[in-house]
Order: sequence, then C-alpha cells, then structure tokens
Amino acid sequence: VLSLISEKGSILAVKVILVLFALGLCVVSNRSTLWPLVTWPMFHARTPEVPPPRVTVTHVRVTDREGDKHILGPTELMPDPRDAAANELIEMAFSPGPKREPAREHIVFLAERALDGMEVRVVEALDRTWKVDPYATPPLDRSDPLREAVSDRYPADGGRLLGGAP
Amino acid sequence: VSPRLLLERIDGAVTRWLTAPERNAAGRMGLFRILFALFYLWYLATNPIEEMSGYRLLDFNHVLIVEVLPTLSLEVLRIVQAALVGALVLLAFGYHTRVATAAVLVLGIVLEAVNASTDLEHANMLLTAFVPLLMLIAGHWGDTYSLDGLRMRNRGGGISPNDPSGKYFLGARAVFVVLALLFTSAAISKVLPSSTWFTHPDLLANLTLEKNVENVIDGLPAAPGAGSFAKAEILHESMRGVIVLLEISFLFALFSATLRQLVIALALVFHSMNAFFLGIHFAPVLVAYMPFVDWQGLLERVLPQRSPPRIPRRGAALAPLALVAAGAVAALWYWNDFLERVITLDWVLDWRTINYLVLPLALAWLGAQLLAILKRVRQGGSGQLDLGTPA
Repeated sequence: VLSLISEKGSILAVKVILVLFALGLCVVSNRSTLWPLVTWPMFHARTPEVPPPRVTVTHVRVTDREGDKHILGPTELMPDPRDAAANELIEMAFSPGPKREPAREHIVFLAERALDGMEVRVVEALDRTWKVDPYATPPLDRSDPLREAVSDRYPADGGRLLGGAP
Repeated sequence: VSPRLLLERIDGAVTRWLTAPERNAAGRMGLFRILFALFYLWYLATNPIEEMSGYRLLDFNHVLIVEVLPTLSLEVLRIVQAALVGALVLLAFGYHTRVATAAVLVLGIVLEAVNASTDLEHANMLLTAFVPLLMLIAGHWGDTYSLDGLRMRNRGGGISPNDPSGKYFLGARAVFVVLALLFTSAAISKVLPSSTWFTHPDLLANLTLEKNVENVIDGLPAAPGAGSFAKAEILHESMRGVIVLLEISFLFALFSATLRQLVIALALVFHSMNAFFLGIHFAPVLVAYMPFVDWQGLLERVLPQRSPPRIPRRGAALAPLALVAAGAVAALWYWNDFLERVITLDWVLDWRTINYLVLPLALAWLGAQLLAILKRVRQGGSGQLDLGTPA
C-alpha cells in the first residue's frame, strides 16, 4: 500500500507527522503514558547532594544448592543501564506490600540466570556500607565494605526458612 | 500578505528544505539502512529479553501501549524479539524493504514500550519508533545496496549511489527535525521556572559525584574526571549554559547544513565524554546521527575501485538466501544467546564501551568539520543558507 504513495504524498505525510509530533510534545509535557511521544526533560529538576561519607546500599546475597554464597548487585541482576529497575525490585522484595511475593520470585529467576542456571536456595537482603570520598578516583573500594549485615531473607522455593528471621 | 498565501509560502519553504539535494543521498541512505539494522541487533543483544519478563511488576510508567496489550509472557516476548531479529536481517538485505521496515516498526515499538514501562529514561524512541516510521513513509532507503535495488536495476531502473536527489534524504531530514524538537524540549525544560538547572549552581557537580558513586557500587569503572570536574567550579557552572546552548543549537542547525554537521559532531563528542568521564550514557541515540555521515563517500575512499559494488544481475537469486538467513538468525536468537555473545563480543561491547569506538571517530569528524568551516571562511562564504550538500 505504501509503495503506491506518490513522492508528493510521502512529503505531505512526513510534514503531517512532524507537525503532530511538535504539537504532541507541547501537550504531553513530562507524562510518560504516551511513549514514544515524550519530551526529553533530562536532569532538569534534580537537586542532587554531595554523596555522604558513608553510603549504605542493599544488594542480594544468594545461596546456591552447593551452599556457596554469591553477592549480586543490581547490574548482575539487570545489566547497566537498567540497574535502577533492579534496585526498585530489591526494595520491593524486602518491603511489605502486594508486590513483595512476585518481586521475590523474579529475583530468584534473575539470580539463577546470572549464575548460569545454578539453583538458588536462599535469598538474603545484604545491607552493605562503604566509606566514600566522593572526590577521589575511585570514590570507594567496592571490594572492601565497612560493614555487611543481613537484614532479611527468604527461601527461593517460597516455603518456610528453617531458623526463621536472621 | 493573506494568511493563506503566507501558509503556502511556509509550506513551499518546508518542502524545499525537506527535499534539498544532499551529496550521495541515495547511496548513503542504503548504507545507513544496513548500519541501522546491525546497530539495532546490537541494541537487542544488550537488552536480554529475560530482563523484560518482570515488566508488569516493574511497571512504573504506565505506558498506554503496554496497558492495552495483554500481559506478554517470557515465551511471547522471545517470539516477538526473534521475529524482530528476522525482520532486521531482511531489512539489512533490503528485501521487500518497506514490509521489513513496517515489521521492524511494529515489533520494535511493542518491545520497547515494555522497556519504557520500566525504565523510561533509557527507552529508545528514536531507534525503535521515529527512525523506522520516517524511513517507512519517506520510502527510499531500500533503493540502493539492496535486493530491491537489484530488482529495480534488472528492470532497467537502477539508481546510482551518488544520486543527490533530495527524495532519498527526506527521511533523514525528518529524523533531524525530530532530534531538534527533542533537544529543544530538553533546553526548554531547563529554563522553565520549575527547573533546578540554573537555580542550583552545584547541580552538575553533585550529579556527577552521585552518579560516580552509584556506578562504582554497581561494579562499573569509576569515572576518571568526576572529582576534578566537581571541584572545578568555573567548568561545571559554565557547562550548564553550554549544554543548553548545544541543545538549542539543534533548532538553528535546521537552517544550515554546515551547522548541522558541526552540532552533530559536537553532540557525539559530548555523549562520549559524558559516558567516559561522568558515567552518564545514552548510546542508542547514536543511531539518529548516523544518516548524516556520508557513508557512500567513505566507502568510495576505502574501496575506490569497487564503488559501486558490482553485483551480478543474477544476484536476485540472493532473495532465498535473505529469507533463509532471516529465519536462521531469528531461530538462533530464539534458542540461545550465541549471536548476542558474538555481536557484543562476549558482552564486552555495551552501552559504555561502544564509546571507545565513537569518541575517536567523533573527534576526527569534529576536527574535519572545523577545518571545512575554516577553509570556507578563508575562501569567503556565499552568505546564503546551505540547506543541503549538493554534489
């Protein structure tokens, strides 16, 4: 059908799309619902602060069927730059709410994928704290956190965990 | 002047702009089509489909396309992605290009809407929606370096890759308008009263530091320039103005091909520097700049004796090969991650590392643009608007 459109028709159609796009941008503003019709409000309303001297982040630590433990950060669950979604997923899995159970299942799925299919038995929320010098390169030593503490855990099969809460 | 006459004049000027001749337009758009398909395959390889399978759970943005679709299981997402891969292979071959482009557009929008519902900031509307849509409407990127082009040649209607006719470049110009509008929206959002861009002097410095700490915690390399950039007050404060200027200059670049090439080169350098030194990257947007490189001219420099490539008239027999290749690649993509590993060089070539390729090329291109402008200034400019780059 499109091959029947004349050169003039193509030019007209391109113009119409561009006008609609320009008008659409004025209407949609920052709303995401109408994607792919969205503006680019990049970093326009952020108020970031200098990172504090100590930063605590929750990663997951999984125990596989061999009993080995693996720490998985957001980029191990969902590669950069989708790691922000992985952070949200971790938060969901360890916070009360209707999405907690599906989030827990999805973390097990992503963890087993990250471990090349190795079966995961237990998932723990591992709160890791680093000393940070924001102006240094690198700003922290990732391999040497100041403190690591398990704040929550759940069995990968959805059953009850022997030994209860940590 | 009556409003109607004024509108007609504006319409005429827009038509002339959209269809102004461009050097090697036919050939470079054919080559762009192939590069677009390869770039899209790389993009898909960097987005494992399994990540998307939890999209209903992580649906933060309530994208309408996703809301109206039934929930797509991982199996269905895999099939959609495999079909998209097959369509991209056909697009690269230029086999029934318009149908392949339409398939790439529809399947790509569905998949990327799923991404957008979770992570709007990194969902790529240019790659998945606007480039294929505008190429589909403009309709000539399959005329060269394609099986469609070969079929046309066999019927006596072959097209020279050096043909500068504006109709071949219509889609590319429309893409640039979209890019200019998006960058303008970025600039406007920064100067609105609700924005913190100009009211928080340390915004860029702190953003850079924050992002750097996040990246290192996530296991990514530290940005080497983050600390120095944040300490250099004059640099990061002036950068706020420079960034808005760069964004708004896309609008002015609509009126001059020279400025367009310069702005694109600057934008590429800007993206790469952001990725390397500040850890902020938006690699898939690179595809929107690709039509503005004279790929045909580059090909003729690299292969001067073989341009245009000689394809035998019986080359139409390549059609079954294209279909078999599309089916095989789609099937392989569906079954395992072998092709994704090959395309990403075993996951090495990602959104960040691709800038190792882009930055030197962008710097070279920027240098070439500046030299060309200098040369033109020395020779004395014509003072006229240079809408295109005629042969």
